[in-house]
Amino acid sequence: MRCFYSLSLLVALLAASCVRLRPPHLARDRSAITRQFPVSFFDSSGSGRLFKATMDIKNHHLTGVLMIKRMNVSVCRVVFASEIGMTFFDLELGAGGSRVVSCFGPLNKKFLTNIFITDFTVLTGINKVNVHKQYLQDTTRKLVYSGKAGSWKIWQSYSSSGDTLLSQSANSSLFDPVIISYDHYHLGFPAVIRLYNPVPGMTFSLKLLD
Amino acid sequence: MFNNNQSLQQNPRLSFTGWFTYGWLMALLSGIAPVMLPFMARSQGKPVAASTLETVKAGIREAAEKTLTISSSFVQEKQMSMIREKIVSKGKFYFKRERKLRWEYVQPYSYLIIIKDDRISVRDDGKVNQFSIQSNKVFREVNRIILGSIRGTLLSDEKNFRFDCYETAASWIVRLKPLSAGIRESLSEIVIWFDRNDYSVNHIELIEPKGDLTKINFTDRKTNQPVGDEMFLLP
Repeated sequence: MRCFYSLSLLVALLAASCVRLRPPHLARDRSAITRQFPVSFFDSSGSGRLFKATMDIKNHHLTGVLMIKRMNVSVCRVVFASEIGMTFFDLELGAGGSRVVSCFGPLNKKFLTNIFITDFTVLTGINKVNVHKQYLQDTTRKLVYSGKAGSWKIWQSYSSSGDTLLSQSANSSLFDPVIISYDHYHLGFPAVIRLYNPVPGMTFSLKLLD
Repeated sequence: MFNNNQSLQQNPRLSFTGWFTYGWLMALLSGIAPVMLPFMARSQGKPVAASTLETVKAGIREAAEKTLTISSSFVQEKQMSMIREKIVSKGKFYFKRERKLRWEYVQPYSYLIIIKDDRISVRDDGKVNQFSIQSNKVFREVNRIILGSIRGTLLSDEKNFRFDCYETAASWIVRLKPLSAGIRESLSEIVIWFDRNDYSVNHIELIEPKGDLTKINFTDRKTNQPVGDEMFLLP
């Protein structure tokens, strides 16, 4: 059994070390950064966004609804519940720190909840991002920005016109990298969002309901 | 919902009890639910006198025994503690004795669960999953609680629930407190409103230990009307 855990840890470390968050083929653009960075889709205080959500990790498949609500300038709430109403997890994300309000037993593992916090902290943009560098992707002409938000290092890729966020990747440690892609924009909001955590091989797929 | 049919039995850490244990037990101990409950529930009514209690139980039992089919629309409302936002979903459900259930959400998303004897079929966003109810303890328990609530048979489950009965002018209100640790971790209380005249269930509240609350309101309920077997087949 000890051998199995050591092997699992080794595989996780190998997987973590192979994850590449920086988009490929980037050329540094040294012109002045003029745009606001990053885009946050959950800025409007008081209103919640509701998604149909699925979470896949190994053989497990959870479906339900996920609500993201900005409580105030510095706090965001994320609740994932099954269709019949049972809460899977409830997170309170803050610029000054985050906490797990409640979590369904088997999901309530430090390793997983840390990943949930990374995923939704990056998605909600609750931490102000300080831009460090700007790039142009050679092959796609996408605009790419790198920066830091709290303890997270973040990469964001925009369309060549610079007005549409296509993806972002982030991590705060070797174990919590996340890659988020945005699709099917409607009225300036992505109707489809996919979060992928390479280390545990976990995916959240979100489809906007409202 | 949760589908881990491939591994529930292989991995004892993922049993129904295991899934619920830690988070819900901590929630119960935190004492939030008792503080929140009086503000969340509908009118609670006054306690039923001991002499009336047996009459109510008999009425509910008799109504359950006579029920062969049920069809109804429902509105489900999930209220999350500390968030004013509610998640409202609507759908239809059909029940046919002995063990056929169709529970379908049509708004704001499409989600269908069909339970037919020992098989569960779930259609979510066009994708279909089918598995045995015996392989998934979560579904087995959810099925038992939901069906038992709708039919009122949960009242006879004294091994797993302690119940108190209240009355208003229009309803008998039964508050079921789970005794089993496995259920208590996910639900601190189930409250069922029975129509005072015909003992049909018209409202259910599922209260979670942290104070989150799911209300299911049944409308346009029809009992013992023909419900075809095709309702329990995936389209």
